[in-house]
Amino acid sequence: QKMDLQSRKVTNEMKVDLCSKYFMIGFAFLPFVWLVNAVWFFKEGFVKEEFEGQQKIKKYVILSGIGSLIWTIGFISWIVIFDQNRVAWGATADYMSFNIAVGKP
Amino acid sequence: EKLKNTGNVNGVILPGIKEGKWKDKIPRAQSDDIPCPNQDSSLYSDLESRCGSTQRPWNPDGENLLWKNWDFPIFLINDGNTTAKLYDCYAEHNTGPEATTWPLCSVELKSPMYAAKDSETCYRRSNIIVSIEPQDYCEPLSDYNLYYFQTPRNGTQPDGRSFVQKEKSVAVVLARMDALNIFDKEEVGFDSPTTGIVTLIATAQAIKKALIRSYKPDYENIMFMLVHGESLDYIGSNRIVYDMMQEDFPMKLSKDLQSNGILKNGTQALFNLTNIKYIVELGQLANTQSSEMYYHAHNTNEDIIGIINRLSASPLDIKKSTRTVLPPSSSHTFLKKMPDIPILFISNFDQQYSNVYFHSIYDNALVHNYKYSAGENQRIVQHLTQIATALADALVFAAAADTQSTPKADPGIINSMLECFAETRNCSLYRDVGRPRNFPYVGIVSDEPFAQYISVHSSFHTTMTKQIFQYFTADVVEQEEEECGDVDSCQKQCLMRNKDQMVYRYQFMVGPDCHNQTGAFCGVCYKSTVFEKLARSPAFEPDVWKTYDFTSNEYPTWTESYWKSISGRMFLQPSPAIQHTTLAIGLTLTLLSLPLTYFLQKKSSIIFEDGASVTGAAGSNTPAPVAL
Repeated sequence: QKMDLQSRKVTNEMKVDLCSKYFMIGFAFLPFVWLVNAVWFFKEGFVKEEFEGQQKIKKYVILSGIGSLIWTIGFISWIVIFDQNRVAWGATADYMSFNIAVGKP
Repeated sequence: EKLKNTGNVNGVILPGIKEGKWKDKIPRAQSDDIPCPNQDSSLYSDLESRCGSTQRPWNPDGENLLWKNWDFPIFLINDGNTTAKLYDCYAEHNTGPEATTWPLCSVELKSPMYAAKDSETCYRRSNIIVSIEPQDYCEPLSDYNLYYFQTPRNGTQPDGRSFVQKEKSVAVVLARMDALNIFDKEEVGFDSPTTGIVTLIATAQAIKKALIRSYKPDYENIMFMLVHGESLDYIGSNRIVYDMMQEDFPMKLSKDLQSNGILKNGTQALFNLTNIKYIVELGQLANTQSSEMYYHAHNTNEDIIGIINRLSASPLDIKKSTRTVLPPSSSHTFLKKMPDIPILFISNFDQQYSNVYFHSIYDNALVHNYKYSAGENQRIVQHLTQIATALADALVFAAAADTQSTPKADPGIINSMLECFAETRNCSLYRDVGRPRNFPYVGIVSDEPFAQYISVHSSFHTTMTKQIFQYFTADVVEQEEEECGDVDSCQKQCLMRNKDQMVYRYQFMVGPDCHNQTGAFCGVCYKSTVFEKLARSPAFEPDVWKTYDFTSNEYPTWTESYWKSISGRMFLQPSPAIQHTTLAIGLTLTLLSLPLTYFLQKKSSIIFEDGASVTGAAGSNTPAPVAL
């Protein structure tokens, strides 16, 4: 119940604190934390009426969103490149792989 | 080939010729190999020499089924009932006036293989360790070579000094031990390799019976070798040559010296390529078409001429081949590393194989007119006896100074061996040479001969060949005063004699007098000089493969893919219309059910009168207090 942002026990300061904490944590190569941060606090930052600290939340939500977007683009690019070139890269690609499919080049 | 190129073929089923509808429908000629077998590992570098001649290659009936990439399964079905059912289903549904109407008869063939691309890739992948359960993709082809020395080679001479084999002092007789075709477990070849194996062993036995008491001054021994995997770019001979060059033949003496006398009861002196005087290789020997034999000589010298003359003087009809190049043979491997070894290759063909079923499932006893029950006077048995006698005589004449008698090969043992190798594994010779706690006294004895394919582990074919070889060339170990007890303890005592020595190989076999209808009740200890040595390509040695250049062609690099069991199913396929209709109905039902369920839930209080009994129902309109 503590995680329910609708609960009256969660003050605005705590919300701002959570949002900024999540934003910081996301720098530890945790893009999904940023995504969660952006989605979770979106309503708080952009839908609700103005409250103290909402600017900060807005900032963090936007930055988290951008961060996770960059990561997503990066992942997709790497996946596409690896998938296209894995066979051509031969031994190098094999050493990069954890699971190599059976019966396929 | 043409069918494959249309891209319309998804699978091929070949009905067997042993029983059923297609019984005895053998093609006039068929060979799965290429017209120039083993051309990439040939001694020669130009295609003309590798093939004998490109217009008249060694194996003109070669269709190259083995070395092509077929991306659909090809199944051989021997069972007459199954092939009959397949044909009936086809006749009933796929032909005739209703040929294009559904339902149609269909077959699903499953042949999952784990390896892909090439040996280097799959072997590398098999050796990447990233988890506690590594995935294997392929395995190198591997079995055992057999070698036999006519005279025991005790590493320590009677006067205490260690024995060193003189240069060019040992005559070598060589034959390949393996067969190949595209169907797994169906690799039994009569002309190649069975005639060679049988003749080699018979020759060794004849020489043994003749009892060489002493050799001429430039001879010290005669060695017989059966090499495995020769159909696949000479795997066995490559390994033997490699071992010899690594001072690992017959065993690594240096390792033994280091570990301070593992073999304290007897070692053998090292043997390498320099000790070889000449090689007499036995190729395909069957006289199915004609009894004419040919010799192909390479690096001819007086020793070879002596053998040729002696062979020509025998009743054997042997002529010089009109070719100037050596046919594909294991000798190529030896020549590549030591080009001046004299070679004499004996075969039943001059310019092109007389065996039109080389490396094919049809190279069997039937097409070569062999039947065990026809006895030892049948043509093929007499022919091989003649070859073995002539060869044994020629070798003894060249090498021995004093023998007890002139060598004569025994047609009875040749017939027995042919029965086991080419007709059935349920044969009397296997019962004589079997070990009491092994085949054929343990397990099921079916009627097929053992497959002669090298595969990735040791095979029954190799083990039984070794035991047959030992049986015919060994001395019986006389029992000492006290009995050795029951079969198991006798066997144990016999095999104990192998401990710490490598001069003799003691083998405990049942022997001719120790078995009856019910099984084996005793055994005999045989003292032989027949040994086995691992026949796996040097490319896969632990200290070689990581840096080995797989494109260099220096060693064979054939591997076999891991595979799950193959299976097939036959079924009637309904028309696409029916299949689409079924799918459409299913989809519609699913799509309909979603809003239907939603509405049912929404209006559940109206539809289901008893509203009070709705406890914990999702979407209920009356919110019930839920305790936190």
